[in-house]
Amino acid sequence: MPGPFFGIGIASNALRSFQRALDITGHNIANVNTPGYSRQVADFGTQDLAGFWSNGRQWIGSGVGITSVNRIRDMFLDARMREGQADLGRFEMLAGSLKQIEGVFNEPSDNGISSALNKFFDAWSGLASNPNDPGAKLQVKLAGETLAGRVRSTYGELSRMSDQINGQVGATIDEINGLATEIQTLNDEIRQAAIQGGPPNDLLDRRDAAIERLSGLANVNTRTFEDGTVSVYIGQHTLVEPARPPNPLPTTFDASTGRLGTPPNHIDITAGRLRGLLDASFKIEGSSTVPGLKGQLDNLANTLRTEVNGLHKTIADPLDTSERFFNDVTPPAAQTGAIDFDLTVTIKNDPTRIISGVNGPGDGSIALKLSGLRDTRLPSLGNKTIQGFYRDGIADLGRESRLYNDRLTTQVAVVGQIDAQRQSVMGVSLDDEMANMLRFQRSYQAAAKVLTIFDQVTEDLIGMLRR
Amino acid sequence: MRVSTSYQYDSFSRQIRDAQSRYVAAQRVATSGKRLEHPSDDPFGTSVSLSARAVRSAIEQYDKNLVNARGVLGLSENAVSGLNDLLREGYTMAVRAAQTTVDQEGRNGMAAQVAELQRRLVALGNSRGPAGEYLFGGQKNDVAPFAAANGALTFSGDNNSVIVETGPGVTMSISTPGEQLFKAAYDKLESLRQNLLGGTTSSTEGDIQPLQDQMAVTRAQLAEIGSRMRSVTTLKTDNARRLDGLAVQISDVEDVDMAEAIVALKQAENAYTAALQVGSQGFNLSLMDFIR
Repeated sequence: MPGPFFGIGIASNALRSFQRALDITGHNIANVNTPGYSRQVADFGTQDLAGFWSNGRQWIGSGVGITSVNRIRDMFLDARMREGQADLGRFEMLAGSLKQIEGVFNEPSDNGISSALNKFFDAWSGLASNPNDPGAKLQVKLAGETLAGRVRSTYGELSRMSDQINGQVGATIDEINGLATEIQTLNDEIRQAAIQGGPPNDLLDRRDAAIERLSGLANVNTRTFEDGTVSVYIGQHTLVEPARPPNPLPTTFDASTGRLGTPPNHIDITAGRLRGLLDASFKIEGSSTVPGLKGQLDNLANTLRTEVNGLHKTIADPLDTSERFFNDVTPPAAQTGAIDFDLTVTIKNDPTRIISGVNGPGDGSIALKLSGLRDTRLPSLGNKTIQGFYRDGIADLGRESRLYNDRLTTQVAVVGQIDAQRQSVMGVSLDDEMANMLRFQRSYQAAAKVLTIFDQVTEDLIGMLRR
Repeated sequence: MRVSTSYQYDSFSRQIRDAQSRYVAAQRVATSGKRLEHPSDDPFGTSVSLSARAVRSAIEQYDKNLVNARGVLGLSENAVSGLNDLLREGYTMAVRAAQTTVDQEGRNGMAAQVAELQRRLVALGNSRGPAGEYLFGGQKNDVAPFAAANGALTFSGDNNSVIVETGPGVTMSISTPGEQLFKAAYDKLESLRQNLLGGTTSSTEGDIQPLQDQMAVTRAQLAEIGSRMRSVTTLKTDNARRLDGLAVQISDVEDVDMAEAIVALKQAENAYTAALQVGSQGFNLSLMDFIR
């Protein structure tokens, strides 16, 4: 049986509820710009029924209460967003790296290896056509030095890029482990809060934002438990598990496969920025990443050594090394590639030691053969000419770079689209909140009116008794 | 669709950003005039451009080689034509000496003149080219190939050709084989000199025909050099034409069509302006403005 002040209770409940709802609206408005924030709504519900006797037992409502405060979020869109972020992270890194590599090669221009190759063969042609001119030999020496220098410096740039990428791999793994700790801490807080009652929305938002950042870094899978906590997996690796200490990602990686960890406990990184870095640094479907291009430069340098030195000689003895143009090892030692590619010290110090022919100072036959090398298809370069080999490498790089740039553009649009859909669900709209504010304000005013009326009624009652 | 406030602002700034980046890209294309800055701008075009640049570079070199050839051929022509002049002088003298009116004193004077011709001949045979090389020494052209001793000319060069590369794998000989040419001429003059000193009218008469024949040989050699000079000119014209073609080809791949670039720039500018305008006006409306 409701007491005489029952109505005052209803009114004050309503006042309290609308006050809370206004608070929530205020919280939403305050967080209109907070990344990862999902708008919250108060779910109103009627209070317990009160029974009274009148012609039998009757039931009367006892007002309103807030049954729960929920965040509005679409888990399906969240999952899509994570996948989108994973690809976005990878493509961003790959497209960026490939663009940087293109910059290293600086083609087509007069300052690339291609132009140096042209000038090198041109210089031999010039020497063949004017073998008596000491200037022609000097020209060959300078062109050879420029070529070797460009091959070396391009290789050096690529090595520096490689180091840089390796550094970024380490930094990204650190970032992943940092996020794992953050998620772990939030998991604990969420569990504590959940034991006491409703969902701790802001903590969930922060946790989800952390997972989303994580999914941009690697291939992340999650499993959500009833208390709101999550487990986070990267490939075969359990990164975070509720109520357990975090299990950091190993920082060692296998350079040949690009997989993290040591055998047999490999962790396959299939997406995210980390994958992009591993792709750029170690392997990829194509050959236009750092190691592939370094290999091509090595091949180019070694082929130039073998072919040019092979022609640049007057002594028949194949073991004689005194007439070499480019520096080289003594067989059967393995050739050293682009890293130390240069002219021999002899030629560098004395360009007159450059051989143009065998018969006399007017003989340009050897220089002519070296000039003809530009049109020779070489088995060591896949039956391509030297320039053809290099040119194809550059065209491949261009294609690869374009491909990943296009994929990045597409992915940005995809993620933008998912974000739009998600924002449409979870984002705060100031107009909505304004409308809510009006509604709760009016409701509060009405409840206050009710309280006033009850107050008057009660006063009347008390006044009656006083009389 | 429900539109959240932050989405509204985000999409506005994204649109402005996109429009701005397109505008800047169009600006860069229009100012640089380059369509192809990185291989990824046009991978196939890059390949074409690099090939064309390689060909262009080679042709430019072949053209330089031809300049060298022209220099050498020109100097050779001068020398051989000088040789021809010497022979003509010798011939004139032989004809004069064959006349009976010339006494021995006169013939001795002539012999001295012929000796002078021979000295000039040796000097011509040892003519040097643009790089200081001896033009008629073949490939052994770093020392003077001719020396006169005891009434005969010795040759210390060789008979190999000096060449220039005029195209991929194509060469042209620019040297004139000097040994026979100069030796024979020297011998003819020597015979004339001997006959002038000790011979008779009839013996000098015998020198006329060989000198004439030798002049024909020299003229044939001159014609040969002339024809090679003409090939050089033809090849240079050819090269100039091919270089023009390549310049067009490279420009087609690497450069923008200016009119197109300007139109694209204007479009991008309009889009950017529109995005800014919409953005600056689109946020004036809010429920807030209608609540007291």
